[in-house]
Amino acid sequence: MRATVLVGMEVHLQLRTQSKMFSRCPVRFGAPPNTLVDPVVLGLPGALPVPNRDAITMALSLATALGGTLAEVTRFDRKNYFYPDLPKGYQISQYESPLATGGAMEIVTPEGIKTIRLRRLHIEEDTGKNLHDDRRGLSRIDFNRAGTPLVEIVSEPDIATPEEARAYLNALRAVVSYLDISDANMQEGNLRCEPNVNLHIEDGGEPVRTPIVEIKNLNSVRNVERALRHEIERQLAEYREKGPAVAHEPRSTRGYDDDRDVTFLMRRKEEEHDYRYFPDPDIPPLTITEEWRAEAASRVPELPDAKRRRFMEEHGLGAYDAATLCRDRSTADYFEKVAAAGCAPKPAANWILTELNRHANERKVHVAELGLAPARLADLVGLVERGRVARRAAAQQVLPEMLETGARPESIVSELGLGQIDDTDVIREAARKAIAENPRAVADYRAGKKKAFGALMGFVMQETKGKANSELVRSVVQEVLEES
Amino acid sequence: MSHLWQMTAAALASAVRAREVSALEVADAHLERALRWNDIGAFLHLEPEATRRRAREIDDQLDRREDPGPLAGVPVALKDNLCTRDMPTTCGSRMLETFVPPYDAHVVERLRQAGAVVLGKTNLDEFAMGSSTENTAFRPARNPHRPECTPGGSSGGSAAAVAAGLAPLALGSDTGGSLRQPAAFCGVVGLKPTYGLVSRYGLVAFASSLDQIGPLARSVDDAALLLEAVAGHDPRDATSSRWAVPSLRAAGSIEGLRVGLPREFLGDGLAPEVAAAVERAKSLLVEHGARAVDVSLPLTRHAIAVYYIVAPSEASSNLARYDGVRYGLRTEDETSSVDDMLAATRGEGFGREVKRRILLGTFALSSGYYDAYYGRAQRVRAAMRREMNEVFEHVDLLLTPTTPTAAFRLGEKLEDPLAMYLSDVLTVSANLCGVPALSMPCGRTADGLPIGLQWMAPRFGEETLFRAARAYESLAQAGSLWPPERAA
Amino acid sequence: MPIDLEEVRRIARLARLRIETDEAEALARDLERIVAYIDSLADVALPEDAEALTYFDSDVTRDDHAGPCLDHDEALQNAPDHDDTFFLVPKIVEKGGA
Repeated sequence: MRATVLVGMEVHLQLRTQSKMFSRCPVRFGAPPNTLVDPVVLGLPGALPVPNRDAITMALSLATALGGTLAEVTRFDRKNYFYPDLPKGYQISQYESPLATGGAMEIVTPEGIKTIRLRRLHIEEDTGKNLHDDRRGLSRIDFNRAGTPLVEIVSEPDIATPEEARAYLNALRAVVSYLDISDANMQEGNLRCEPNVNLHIEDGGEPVRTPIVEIKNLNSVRNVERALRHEIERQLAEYREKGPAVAHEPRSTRGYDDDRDVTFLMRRKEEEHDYRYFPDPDIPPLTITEEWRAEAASRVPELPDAKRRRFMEEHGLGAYDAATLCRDRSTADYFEKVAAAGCAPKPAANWILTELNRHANERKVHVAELGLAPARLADLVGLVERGRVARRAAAQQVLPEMLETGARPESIVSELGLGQIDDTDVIREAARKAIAENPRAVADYRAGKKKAFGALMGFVMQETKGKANSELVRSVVQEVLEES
Repeated sequence: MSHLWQMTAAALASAVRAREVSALEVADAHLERALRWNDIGAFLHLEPEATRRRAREIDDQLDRREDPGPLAGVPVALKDNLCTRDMPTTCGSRMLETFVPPYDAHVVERLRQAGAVVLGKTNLDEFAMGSSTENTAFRPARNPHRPECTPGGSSGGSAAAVAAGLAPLALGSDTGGSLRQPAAFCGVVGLKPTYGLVSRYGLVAFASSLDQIGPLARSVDDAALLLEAVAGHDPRDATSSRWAVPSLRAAGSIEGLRVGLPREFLGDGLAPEVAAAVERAKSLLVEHGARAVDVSLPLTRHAIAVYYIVAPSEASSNLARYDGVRYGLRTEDETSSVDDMLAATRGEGFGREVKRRILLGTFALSSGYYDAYYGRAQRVRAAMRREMNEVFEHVDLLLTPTTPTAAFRLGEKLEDPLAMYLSDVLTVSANLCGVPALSMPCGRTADGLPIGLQWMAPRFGEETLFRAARAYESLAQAGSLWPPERAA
Repeated sequence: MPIDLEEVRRIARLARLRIETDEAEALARDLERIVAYIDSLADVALPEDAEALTYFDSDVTRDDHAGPCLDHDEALQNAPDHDDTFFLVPKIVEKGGA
């Protein structure tokens, strides 16, 4: 039996605009409930929508970045359905003439680069939020979110594994962060993802397709991956139990319970939703002119993939380091500034990805937000490269001090007396002591256990309080061993 | 001119500004008359204290030598589907019986800026759906000329108020003729402007691509005055046009005007008295220099079918917001789920005609039917527009009757919705094609009921429309058609 | 195109309109007559690529500057049920749809 997995992703992205999609009502995070509403947002009788041009330009720049074909004329349609968080009883969306079609996203898989084709990209308005109170049998509704601009990106079912799904989302988030149009954070709800998954099974006879399942209410990239993993197993198990008959069952929607790591049935789609789409008569169609295309294109900076390739070529970085640096634009920009300040690129990358990253994670910010001027980091790395201070001391003592006080590395090194010990005699002294006090390690080393050498080096480093030039220590300990 | 309520709006504004009469006196005269004529059901809501307060404000402004605006102290009645911040806006429906909007419609803001005094909200068919102001949750309106007859609809209350002298000016709305037909039935002037000329922001939507707000008055000049006060671009309505509204007060003239007479509008379906009145009007115009041209609009025979697909479809979507969540009626029934609450609320809140149209519209948009109904109707509509544009290359205006008959009796058409719909045949084309159309009195039936004459012009042809209407008005010496006066 | 009671119920469900049986029967009759009338549109000869008309204009947008909004009391002033912060509704059974 052979089972091919097909996953298509539907992603909704909240755009970071000043005002809502169809009215001037402000957009803000964390406002008290029902304070960011106006007649248009609440769907009061007589209110009318007027589209937000900047939101559309943001969406067009994303479509351009993803290689989509922009429409010549785009139009808004009404998607009619009833739900308490949908004020007008319809959502203004796009059906027939979306902003863009086609395009693709490249992801890195263990087998190499894979292209995930995109089907379409359109813009629409968000709904309000329900808070269910099961105990009291009611729901509370907050319309602050209603009317916020959303971009919907639909992919073809080219994704074949949960890991690829994760890579797709991360790649998309990187592009979005470069365009600076959304926070694209699943936990905060400004990026939502609904994967659609089914299996094509070849098992001797006719190929069997399991019914497509749409998974909702996923609140992190990790959960997307876990939910898919579970769901794929579940569909396989269902096939094993029911055989080819499973293909005749209807599509369904399932939720994900992350405590139990299972998907559960929410709704069967026996009755396809009849949204009765028709062109919204309140909003005349929009022509995507040459000027508008150019404006959208001008908002597209060098994108993550292109930047990654350039870092590899120009700065000689390895693929992994380059890709990791490029995941976030501010970090990539920071790296380039450090290199521009005269620092060797590979050590610069290394320092950013290890030491600075650790500090950044602790403070929950990006590396560029640590307040460490690129030139200063360049100075520090330079000191280490030239052997003026040991790397360990630099990382554990100089760097924190720099982050704390903003002082120059040279001053900190001399203040703390961290200058590396280059004096061969001092090192030789410590080496002899190491050998004298560690006969077992010496014996092991002579017996061929290379690891024992490290123990001896470690002893010397301790003796010299970490200040000895480690290259020098290595050669001196070697010499002394040979002498004895 | 013995009574303030008999004066034109232009004359009233003049008199108020010249301090010949106070805005308060004007308001009082109209309030008193409105109360005396209460039985014709023109008003759903009057707020005498607020009206007097506003009138006093105008007088105060004049005291301070400030200019209140071109409609200084003029009372205006507003159809109750126009949002007013300080008065309920019920749309004649149980669904919005207690709804008070937290905002004013654009036209209401403009009226305030022009110094007008809002008298109250007038009666209408529920959510503007109907042609008789009988489809209302509250009480029907009556024709002031003959109270056993309807004033037409859906702007029946506004037309009746103006006809009876309860207000010199009123605003109504027109989606398929719902402003012009009541104007014709009540013997007043009513205009549906070019689509996009007057902002719909704050007009409770019925059919978005057809709805327009327009003036009702007892003279062409007064209608122009009101239109000028409210027309023009509004950035809050994306369908609002940027056309710079010219002065509409140029002198009337008919000389050399090519007047098209579309044969589809002048055929067999007309009551004989209506056909005769329009024929007399045409002769009068030709006598004074107009050139009558026979034209044809063959697609007119499909106009009702197109209208009764497009309008209910858009309406079914526009009325989906009435769900009892954020405003309006919510059912008192015990409901265990929100879906039940929705269905019960909407079942109770909407009347029969509204339900009929919502169902029709939902059907026409539903999966499997869209192409045959809504899709097709929009294509025929485009063809109708092309046909109308072609005709306007050969004529400046079209002349037709406004309605096939004069006002019918209350209850006469209620049982047969299709018959009611068919009576819209002469008015819907203007909405479908987005062109301006004006109705004005051109005589009476033997029973004393007014007969309406309709002018149509190309889009943004209001100037030509008003010039011709003004010319006819003075030639026919039509004057206001006052209803029989009643004992004090 | 026959519109029977079943069809009326289906449409009423789509439109979330509760209709009693006698009302439903009368509405079915009305709708059937009206739809029979509008079916005449099928006879209109139209070219293959006939365009549709909904709009009289095009290209209307606005810039992204925020403007005024309702204050909290105004937002809730017409709410049938609220707790001074949220709009309240009876419990929602499942994600709604058409």
